[in-house]
Amino acid sequence: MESIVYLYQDHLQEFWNSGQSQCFGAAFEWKGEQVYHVYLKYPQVAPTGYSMPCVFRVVDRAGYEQADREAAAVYAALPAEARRVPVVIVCIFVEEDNRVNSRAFIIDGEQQVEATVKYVPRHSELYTRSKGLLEVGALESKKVLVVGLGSGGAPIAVELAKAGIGHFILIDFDRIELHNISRHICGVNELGRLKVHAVKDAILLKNPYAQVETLAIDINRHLDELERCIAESDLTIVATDEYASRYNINARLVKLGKVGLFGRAVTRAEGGDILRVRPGGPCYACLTGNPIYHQNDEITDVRRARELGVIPAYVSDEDANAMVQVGLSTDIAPINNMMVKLALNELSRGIECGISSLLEELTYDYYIWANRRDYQFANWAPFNNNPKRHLTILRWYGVKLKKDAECMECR
Amino acid sequence: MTYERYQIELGVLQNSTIKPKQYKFMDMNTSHPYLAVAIQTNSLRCYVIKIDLSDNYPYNIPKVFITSPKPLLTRSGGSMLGASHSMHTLPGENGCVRVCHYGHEDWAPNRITLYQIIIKVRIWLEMYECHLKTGRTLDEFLRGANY
Repeated sequence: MESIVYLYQDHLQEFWNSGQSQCFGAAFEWKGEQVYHVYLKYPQVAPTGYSMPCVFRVVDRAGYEQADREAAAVYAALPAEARRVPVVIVCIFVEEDNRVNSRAFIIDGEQQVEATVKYVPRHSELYTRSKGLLEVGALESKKVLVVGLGSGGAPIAVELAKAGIGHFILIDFDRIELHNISRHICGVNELGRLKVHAVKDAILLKNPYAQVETLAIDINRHLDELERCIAESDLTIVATDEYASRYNINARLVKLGKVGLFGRAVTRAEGGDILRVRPGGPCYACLTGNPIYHQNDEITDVRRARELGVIPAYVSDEDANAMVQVGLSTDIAPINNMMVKLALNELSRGIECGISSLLEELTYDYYIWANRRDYQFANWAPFNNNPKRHLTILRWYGVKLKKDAECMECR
Repeated sequence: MTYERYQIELGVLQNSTIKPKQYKFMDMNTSHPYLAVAIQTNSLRCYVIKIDLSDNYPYNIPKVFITSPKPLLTRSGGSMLGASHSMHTLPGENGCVRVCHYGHEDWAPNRITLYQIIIKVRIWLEMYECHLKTGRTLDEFLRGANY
């Protein structure tokens, strides 16, 4: 099996700029796969794999051509303790036109194997594949606030990072718990971590150059901080699981004239909806007062629902537990997907790019999606027998929502 | 509560059937503001209620307590300080019975004002007095009513 060594271009550049001829780094190996990631400084996200020593050595042209001998010499000069485990030796030769050439060797005692070197590109090259479709340069300067990092907010944040959004503020005071795992992007190895930190790492894995601010706060008790975050951001993603926080965010979006997207799954994720709040348009409070809106949020956590009063105190524990009706991750995915599309739409507004045509079509303020013909969607038409094209499942429906003339929030 | 919201609430109350001497906003510049309201029922009994505005009103549903008489008792003399579905109460505090008025599914901060909460509590008190007369639960009176 071919060995592969990944080098980070910006690490190499910094090393070359420092003028040193040799320095130590750390390599991380996926055992049995012969894939090594080599670092000269602490990466933003904790590396994965088993650690091993690594040495970087600058060589001249002749040394580069005989890099196997150079590497063996470097290895031989290492202290015996360092040679107890395999070592990665990287020989670097920089040509006159500043082109960097590298050869890497994995040496374990008498055994020396040359690896294929691959580069993790610098900042500007990460999103070249999105060019043409998204104006990645413009999106990189955008800042998105994501409030609530559960099965909705977390994947949306990561998807936006993958699209090239460069700045994030993440807010959630919760930790990754066992009951989250089946639907969350984070796994069992992150149990107990604050969601803001775990999701920040997930973002940085996709975009190591993203600037991510994290706030593990309850926004209902830190309203000034919430207002600052909304004011600083180009877009607010509202993925919280209770009304008070949504109303608090809504009030500040209206006050500051900012854009926000409210997304949620309803009971057992039988469906979901998305509201887009734009300056001058209907606000979240306009929607909740509208008969089209169903109040039945998905209840995922009894303790939290009790605290919020969503499950009243007179409901027995047995009945309360029966009210926890979470849906499948796959039922939430379409809502998240649409949230990301709408977010990119809003962030690309005024910028000529490949998704501009969507702006002419996604003009609605409110979008409804049904996964199954259950509960509030029970009267919808069957998907497979719908000649009159009535409302049915697995399709998005846009609703032109009117501003509530009597709304005390936005009138 | 923002100053703008306070002005709206005040305007609604001033134009309502509740007389100015019946209500007073208290401790508004502190972290525990509340509205005290004196309510007289059809039987001419007087009650004082406290609407707690400290917890992010109107975005959270405010707690409402009966501060006088304190504590309210059931017809049989039992406590009403616990949460009860049939009596429409939530866990009381400081010896005051807490009334369950709007639930999460009905709460709309841009449409519901303190005046509507007061009206709901007035209905609760009328039902409470019916309970005292008959022994039937509040829920039996309210069931089917859509306020």
